[in-house]
Amino acid sequence: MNAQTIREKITAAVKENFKSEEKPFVNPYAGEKSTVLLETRAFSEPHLNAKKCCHLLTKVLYLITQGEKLSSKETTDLFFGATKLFQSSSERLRRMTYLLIKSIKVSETEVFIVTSTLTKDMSSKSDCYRANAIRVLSRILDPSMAAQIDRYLKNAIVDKSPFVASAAIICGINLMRSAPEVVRRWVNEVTESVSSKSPMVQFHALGLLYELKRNDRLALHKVVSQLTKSFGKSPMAECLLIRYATQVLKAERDSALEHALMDYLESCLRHKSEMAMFEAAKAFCELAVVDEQGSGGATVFGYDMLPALTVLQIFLTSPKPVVRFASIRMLNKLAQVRPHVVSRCNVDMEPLLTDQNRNIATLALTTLLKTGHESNVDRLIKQITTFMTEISDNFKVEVVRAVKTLCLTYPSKYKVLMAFLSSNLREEGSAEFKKDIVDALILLVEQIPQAKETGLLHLCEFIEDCEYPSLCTKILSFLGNETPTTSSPSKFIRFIYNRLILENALVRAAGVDALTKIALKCPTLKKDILTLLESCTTDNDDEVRDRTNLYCNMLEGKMGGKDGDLLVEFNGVLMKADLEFSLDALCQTLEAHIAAQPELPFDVKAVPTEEAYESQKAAMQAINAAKQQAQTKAKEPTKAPAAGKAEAPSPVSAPSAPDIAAKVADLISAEDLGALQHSCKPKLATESEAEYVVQVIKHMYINHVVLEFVTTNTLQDQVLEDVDIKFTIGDPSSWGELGRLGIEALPYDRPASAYVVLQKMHEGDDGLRTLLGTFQAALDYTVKEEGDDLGYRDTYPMENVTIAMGDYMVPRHLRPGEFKSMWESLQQADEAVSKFSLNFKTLESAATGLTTSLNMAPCDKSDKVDTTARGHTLLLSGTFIGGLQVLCKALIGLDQSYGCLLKLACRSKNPAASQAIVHSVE
Amino acid sequence: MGIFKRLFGLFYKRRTKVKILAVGLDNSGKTTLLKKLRPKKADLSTVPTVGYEFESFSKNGVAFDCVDMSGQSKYRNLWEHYFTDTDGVIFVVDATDKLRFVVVREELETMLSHQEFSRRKIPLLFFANKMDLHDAVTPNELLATLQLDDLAHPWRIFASNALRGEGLEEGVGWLVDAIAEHKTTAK
Repeated sequence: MNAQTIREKITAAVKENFKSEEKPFVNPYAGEKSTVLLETRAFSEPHLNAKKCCHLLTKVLYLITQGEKLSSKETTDLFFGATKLFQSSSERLRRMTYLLIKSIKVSETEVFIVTSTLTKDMSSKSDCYRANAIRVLSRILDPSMAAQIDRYLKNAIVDKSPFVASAAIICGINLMRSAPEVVRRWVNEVTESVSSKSPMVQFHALGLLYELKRNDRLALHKVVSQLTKSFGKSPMAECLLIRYATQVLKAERDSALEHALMDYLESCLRHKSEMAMFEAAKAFCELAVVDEQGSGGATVFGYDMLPALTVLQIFLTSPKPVVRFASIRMLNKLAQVRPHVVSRCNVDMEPLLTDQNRNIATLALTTLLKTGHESNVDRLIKQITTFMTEISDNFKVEVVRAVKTLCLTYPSKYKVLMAFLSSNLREEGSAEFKKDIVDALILLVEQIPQAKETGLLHLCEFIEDCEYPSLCTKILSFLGNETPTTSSPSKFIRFIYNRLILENALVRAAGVDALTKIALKCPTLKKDILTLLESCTTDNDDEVRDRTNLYCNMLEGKMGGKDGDLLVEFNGVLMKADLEFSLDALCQTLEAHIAAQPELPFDVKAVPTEEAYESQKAAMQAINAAKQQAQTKAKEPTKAPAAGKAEAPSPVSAPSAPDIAAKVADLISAEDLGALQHSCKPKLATESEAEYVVQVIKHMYINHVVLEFVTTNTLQDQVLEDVDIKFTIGDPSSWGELGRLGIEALPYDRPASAYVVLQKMHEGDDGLRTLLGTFQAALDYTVKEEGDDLGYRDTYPMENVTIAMGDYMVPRHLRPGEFKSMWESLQQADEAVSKFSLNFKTLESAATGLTTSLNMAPCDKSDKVDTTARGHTLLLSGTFIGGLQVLCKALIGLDQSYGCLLKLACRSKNPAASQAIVHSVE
Repeated sequence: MGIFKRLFGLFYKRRTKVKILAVGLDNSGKTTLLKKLRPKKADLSTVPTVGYEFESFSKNGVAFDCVDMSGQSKYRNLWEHYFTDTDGVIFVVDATDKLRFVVVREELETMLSHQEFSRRKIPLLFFANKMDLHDAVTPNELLATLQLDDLAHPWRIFASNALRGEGLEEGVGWLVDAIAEHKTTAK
């Protein structure tokens, strides 16, 4: 009874207390920067008030941690004010002073003024002074000063007080950056401290030891594997060691080391401390990302992932939020590489969806979306919807992406997922978030046919009320392409027409485009659309009006005769998703056309593709530059002729386009040569350790090939003169030699280039001008040894120079996933397919052999061959001469009776080129 | 009553505190001089000061808080940061180092051109140190070389031998009086 009353009284009192504290909290340390700095004048008072100064210092530090920036003058004043505080013997004040000096950035020329004071403190009796002085010193020491106090620091490392020892080790870590040679002398002391009794010293010493050994691989391995065997480490040190072990494992594959370290990591999974357990589990997960071979299986470097996962799974149910967060975050990362492994934790992750901490809940959700099973998608979506409003935009984007991939994995669930996405479109959100959803919807509409109409309707609804014109135009153009293939395109026209009335010019123009596209594809709707477009023929924006008028005329078929042909042409162009020519080029050719022969019809096909145009432009610039050079040279008659100058030894191995055109200007004019299409990679035509090293670079032009022989003389006591290339053409009907350019003198180690210009004599069977050929070549020169004036003539044979199909190709790297869509965009009718039997022993060598011989770039990581499989699909992409984009799909199989078999399919816009490429493999 | 007054006076005097700045070229004997002023007999083997050091001592019933600045050329530009709240300056000159008198003059001018010195008439006490050495110049000669006559500040020069403490008492005694006078006139 008595106890009861007392308790009641206490509760009442406490309540009363809380009430009084309900007043708004005022931070006693907050303050205006200028006022606080003004107050620091108190540091200069003759009678220092330690308590007041402490309070002031706290205020200043508070300002700094709040992110307030001090100007350099303010810093200087503050610093010199603080130096006066060293007079006081108050321990608390001194500690605050140390803190301040550490946290302000004093200029180097001023900061060392405290050095002597600090060194004095370092040898004082108080541990507090010593440790703090060392910590501050580590920030301001320069290498020479570090060497001076080296002895003190060394003693401090092995000091009895862990506080001081830690400070000295930290000083070492800081000094590693400025004066590593000083710290290297402390190795013995540091190694000793790693086995110190104090956890803090252990931790810091381990860190420093790692820094010391970091650049020495073997020593590092030794230290790490030795330390893993020793016992009695503190959890902190253990964590650090686990991280280092992980780094070592990541850096190098060495089976003995791997075994030892993985054993250690596994043992750490059973550590007493939660922290170390988690760190070990994390190490497993991180290694799982590195060890790609193990992906698919549930192992890392041959060790089972299961124990690590069990640890994380247990942590998921921990009462501490931070533990739950750490573990779910790790699982989320792991789910990106090994979703099926993580899926066994699903049971424990699901309760986390209702976790009070939204971060944990979101992570759990995105993880579940990755690992989730088809059966619980509905439930998941229901749960997301409830908390989408509560999470930040970054997480929302994260969720949208996860939903997108989930939808692609389980297309049958598109209804639920799309409904979710579109409901989010209507919610408040940043532009990026909206854009992500729109992208996701567009992707889903493209990938999942049955989702098309729903998806399009969702998009239509969105543009009804969309504040971002860029998104609107994007959706409108998408609608224009997609609606004609739906069951009732008329349904969508209303949405587009609304845009024409309500939106700004940008969106109106896009709407007109979309309507026209629909009208062209659906003749039944033509009339209605024309009526709708009518309203825009008097639009007050020029662009919109022009477009509408053009489209109206086109749709009404008013253009007759020649214009009619053009219309058909134009029609075709408009209907295509992407243009097959460069817009800049179109503009340029149109201008030229109007100037030259306006009466003739314009041929759209003559407009080069984007890539071809780019390369042409570069080449034209090069030619112009070369011409200018020639002109300036002509103006200076005293100078040697252009060719002579070009022969001067240049160390450049791959000269740029203008160089080549200029160098061979004597043999063929730049106009005749045309634009440089591309240059092949240098190829050795001799042994790399021969007396004379020759590299051949093939510069490909439409009608010519310029061979550049980059020759290096590796004999120190010789000079080669009058170097010429002896060149034999086997098939004069295909190739003609236009001329050669030799090297006048070739001294030791000064590479110089000789040139041979070849002309293609005919267009080739397929009209592609892709002639192949093999040529014999040899160096022909006069050797002059030191002191020998006459010298003698000699020849040096080279390997045959071949021009293969691969030389007409340049690898073109595609983004992941791009191959598929590009492959499908090319007509199957133009595909060239052939089957071969090749002379390769393994799939891997076949894949690399094919890639190099075709000189194309592997896509979507298809160059990585699974050695255990019996077949492999290699995806290749390249740009063929003339800017033609070429894609190849190669199925390689190993058969015991037939050896290596290949089925090569090639697609490009030019069937002849595809054929030629496929046949080149034979 | 008399006793009280004396006691109070004593007490009051005890509490008087002055801030002094000791400057001068390197190796002129600032640290040695200040150490000598301290009643506690410190060992006199000094090393060059890095940055600054604090010395506190009392003399003639006045407590001195003295900042001993380093005289090395690269630290000299740091002196000015301590001018603000100083009551008096001790400027120590190595009387044997005739070569560098011109440097001394220069540093003196730099110091006097600082706004703190034009604002307040801070008393300057010069020590022509190392007078025990035979090639030391006399205070009078030094005075002429440094053109001290033109100074607007109260100043006085003394010959001193910091190692044995000769001449210090007189100098510091003058400085205390000058500071007291300056303070009363300022008020």
